[in-house]
Amino acid sequence: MDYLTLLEATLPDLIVVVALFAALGVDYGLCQGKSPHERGRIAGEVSSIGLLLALCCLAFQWMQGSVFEIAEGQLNLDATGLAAKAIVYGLTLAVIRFATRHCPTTHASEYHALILLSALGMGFLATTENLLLAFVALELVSLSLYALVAFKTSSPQSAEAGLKYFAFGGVASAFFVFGVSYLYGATGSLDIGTWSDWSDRSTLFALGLVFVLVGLGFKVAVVPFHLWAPDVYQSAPTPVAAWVASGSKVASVFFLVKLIAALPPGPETATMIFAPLATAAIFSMLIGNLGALRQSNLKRLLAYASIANGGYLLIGLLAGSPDGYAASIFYVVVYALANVGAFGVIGLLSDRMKGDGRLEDFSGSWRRHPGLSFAFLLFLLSSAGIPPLAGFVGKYYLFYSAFDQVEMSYVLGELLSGRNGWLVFLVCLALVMSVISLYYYVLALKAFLVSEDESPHLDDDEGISPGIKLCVFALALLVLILGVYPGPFMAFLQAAF
Amino acid sequence: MEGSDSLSWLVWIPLLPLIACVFALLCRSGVAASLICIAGMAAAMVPALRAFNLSGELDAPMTFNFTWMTIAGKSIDFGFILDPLSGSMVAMVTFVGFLIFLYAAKYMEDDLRRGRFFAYLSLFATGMLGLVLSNSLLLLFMFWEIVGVASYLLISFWFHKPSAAAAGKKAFITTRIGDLGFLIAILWAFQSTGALLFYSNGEGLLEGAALETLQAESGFWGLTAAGVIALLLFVGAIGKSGQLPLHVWLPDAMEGPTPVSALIHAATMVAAGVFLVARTLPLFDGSPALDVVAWVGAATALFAAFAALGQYDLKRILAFSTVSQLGLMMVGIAVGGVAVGMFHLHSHAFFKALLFLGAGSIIHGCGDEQDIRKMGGVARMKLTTLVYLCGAVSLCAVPYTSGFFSKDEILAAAYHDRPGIFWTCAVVSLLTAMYVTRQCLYVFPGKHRGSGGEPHESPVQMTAPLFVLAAFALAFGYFAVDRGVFEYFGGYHAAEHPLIVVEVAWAVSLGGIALCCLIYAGKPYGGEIADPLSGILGKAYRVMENKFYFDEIYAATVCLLWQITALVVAILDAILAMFRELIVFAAQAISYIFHHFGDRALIDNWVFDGTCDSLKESGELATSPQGGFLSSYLRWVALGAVIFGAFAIGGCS
Repeated sequence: MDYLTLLEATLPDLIVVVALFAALGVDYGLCQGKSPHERGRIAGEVSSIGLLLALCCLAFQWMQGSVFEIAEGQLNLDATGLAAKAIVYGLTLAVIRFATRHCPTTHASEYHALILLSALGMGFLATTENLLLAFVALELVSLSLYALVAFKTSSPQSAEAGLKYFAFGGVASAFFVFGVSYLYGATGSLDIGTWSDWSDRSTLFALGLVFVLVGLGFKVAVVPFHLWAPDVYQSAPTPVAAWVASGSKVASVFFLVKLIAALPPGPETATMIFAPLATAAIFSMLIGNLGALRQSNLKRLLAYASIANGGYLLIGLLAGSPDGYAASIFYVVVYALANVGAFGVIGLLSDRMKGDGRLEDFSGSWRRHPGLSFAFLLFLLSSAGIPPLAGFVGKYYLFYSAFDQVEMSYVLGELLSGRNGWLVFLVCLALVMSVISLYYYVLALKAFLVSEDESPHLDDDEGISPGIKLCVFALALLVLILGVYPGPFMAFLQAAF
Repeated sequence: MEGSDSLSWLVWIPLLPLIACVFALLCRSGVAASLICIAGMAAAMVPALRAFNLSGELDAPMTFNFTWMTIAGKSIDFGFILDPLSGSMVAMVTFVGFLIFLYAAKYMEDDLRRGRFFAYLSLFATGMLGLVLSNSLLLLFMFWEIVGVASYLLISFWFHKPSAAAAGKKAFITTRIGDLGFLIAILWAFQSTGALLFYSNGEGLLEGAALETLQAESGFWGLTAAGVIALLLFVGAIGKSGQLPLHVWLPDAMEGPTPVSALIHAATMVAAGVFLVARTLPLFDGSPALDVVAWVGAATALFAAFAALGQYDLKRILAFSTVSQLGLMMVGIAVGGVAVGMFHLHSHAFFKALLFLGAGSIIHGCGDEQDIRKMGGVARMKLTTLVYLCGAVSLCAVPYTSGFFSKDEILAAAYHDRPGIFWTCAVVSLLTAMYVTRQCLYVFPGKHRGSGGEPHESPVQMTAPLFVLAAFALAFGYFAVDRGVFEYFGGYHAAEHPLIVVEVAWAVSLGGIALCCLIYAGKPYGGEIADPLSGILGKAYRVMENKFYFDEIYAATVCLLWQITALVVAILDAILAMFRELIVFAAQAISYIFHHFGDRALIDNWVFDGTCDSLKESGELATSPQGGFLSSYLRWVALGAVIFGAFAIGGCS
């Protein structure tokens, strides 16, 4: 490996690093004495420009068909890797746009810089095949997010959420790095790409894998590692909640899928991870969906919904086929798009007015902001899996990939025993839970679209800038397009495995 | 068969009007909206003409296919096709559509919802252009439905008139009956062959193995599957193209604004059915389905020509005339192949668009009067009269006009194989000449009989497009034959024209005009006076006036049946409602039990609150109140890790 290749491969990330320092530098060098709002805006613009440049650079690399394979899988930048990075940076751009509107403290540039820093970590996490680098990337993401969650210094809840997140994340990281050490001990390699030609599966390997899964399970917020999610989503600044729900999840799922796909084939491996993952999926769907039913706070509701969605996407991993892996990634991307959009709208309509996201706060929104309310409708209906939106297609691919693995038999006993039975049960449970989920999604929509205005104190006197609206509509359009014409993207993902 | 990516520009043809439609909807000002739509149509004409040029040089259809989505390993492909059929249609639709748009800009000037009107027109154009370019049965069906929706919106555009709202509904529902046949055809074809593309390197529906599969598979009534599918497609065409017995919506569609009538009746919607038959003609080949098409077409042509003779509404006469001409096109396709039918479709598009727009101009000039008994003296509108007569002679098939060339070809083709159809068509031509002459006699000469002021000429923005169309109505046929229209469409072996065919063609058109003049000459007509024809025909004329009582028969049969069905359903519904109430009651009882004993006692108090309480308690006991929850959270993590580990080791060993 020479440094020139490394530079070339990480050019988009370097651009983001430069943008990060530029945002800080501009803020502290040139913007002293300006209002926090103005400084936040400038820092946001600088970050956005950096991200756009990084995206252009990625597009350029992609068009050139560049494939970088650096230091035995430490960075694996093929077409899928570039796409993963582009998705992460694209989501970052949307979050930055939302964050520009309202900074919770006077530290405007740090706010954006931390978001960029976590985006960097996510980019590396999504593209690495090396366990150690994954750990470093994961820590980069986590540490930035801890600070971001606690960023609303005026609010004790925010600090409490940050602390919980930190403690939880610390334990999860400990599990992760402990698991990595076991895996290294068992296989003698940190590169998950080498697993496929390693045949002796020991208890050590199984334990290591489970510990790594605990670490990732925390990031994806699956039961029983989900307990931080409701508090964090509710109390963090809304753009940060959007960021935790989207970018961090997308990157973790990319790595998780890579990890599972790299497992050496064979029935033992399948049984080794099947039971833990299936348990996690079942309880995530149950607790996520049933928990969401009880919520009266929109952000908390979406937090439980995100736990449930974590359960759904594990089904694709359990299917264990390339189609299943592709379906999981497709689902998490679609979910992230809809969630960034939904949190974005929530932030636009409630944050600046000191609303804390209760459902009543949004009543009558359709009258004041018909466009945003309509976009919100699309985001939520997509998450609920209503055709022709992307969420429906995502769920369809997930459930289909699982059913595809069921060995069809006309004997009911055979059909419902062992792995077959689990898959059938999981899909049926997911279908039932999707129906239940419609209830709370519609409940949220009712507040937006049906209820009359009862909270004039939240009326927004200052217009929302067209740029931010454009961002919301672009997300809504993506959700719609991926629903109507999912073919190319899905084919692209399927080709990756 | 060339599969070529270089054809992707074809997508722009339907896309440009669609973009215009979206912008027109966003536009607040009607003027801007109309300009945008006209510009959209003009822009679409550029690739359309290029497609037309290119289509003449092709040996085989060119296609551009892409995968829409892949489900269960089966990919559903869409595509666009360029062949003489689609090339000529897009050119004609964009060209005539453009003229109609220009005309409409003036005609709808005073309408408050002009922007909306133009958006609908553009949507309609999108549907039609997409329809003719589709290389997939499914895509064609989608555009077909867009056309249906747009026509519904346009016909009932003046929805404050109850008759217009009803007419829109009638058009929508009646064509939907035909669409059912179309849909079944699609499903059948997909099930039998797995192909929905028409042409795709030998794997399409209309070529190679798939076609052979369909022709080998047996359907029912002794038909092959291909024959049955063809018939089902024809059912769709019957609905869309107003053939017997689903023609009833078409005369009522006259309630829409006049440019709509022109667009629907001349260039687009009604031609869609004929186009569908032409596109899928390989399925019809060699099966009795073709006879069905020919006879339904001939019967429709005859019936509608009679009905046209009994009407007093200016546009309704033209509507029945359209039904009749569509019947002739069907006959043309059935007896002479694609070339003959399509040739008549194109020449008809020009002169019928001209007649409808001319009629609009006359109605405009007479102060929104549509009853020909209250007209007369319209000859004062010199320009309109001139161009209207051009259209009329073309429709009468007076020798050397467009209508003559295309109708002559149908007659010649029919003469060889099916004498019965030939003579039916001859009678239709005679009647056509008669009703056109009758209409002109009522409208143009004499004194004005209307209550409003004298007719006045329409503004130049309305008459200018008419002149362009008039030129085409007169000369298109000659030039088309001269330039080899039949070789262009291909698949046609020029029928020789026996002397008798030519004689009949001359005799019926000129004879019809003369006969009509003879009947009406010197007799009083118009106003309250009974029509001179009714004196000759007696009771039969009443039947014609009432359009052969089709609406009444449907009201008595279909609608009655519908009401009875509705009653039965209502009774069933009531019974079901009883069951439903019982079930709801049972469910309520169960849910009450669960609510009180399950939910409240077990879940709320014990599991949920209990868990929360225990978490709280453990937190209070173990750590400071702030971190109380946290420690129990972390306990969960540990518990999870232990369970996972146990599972994994259990699975491993």
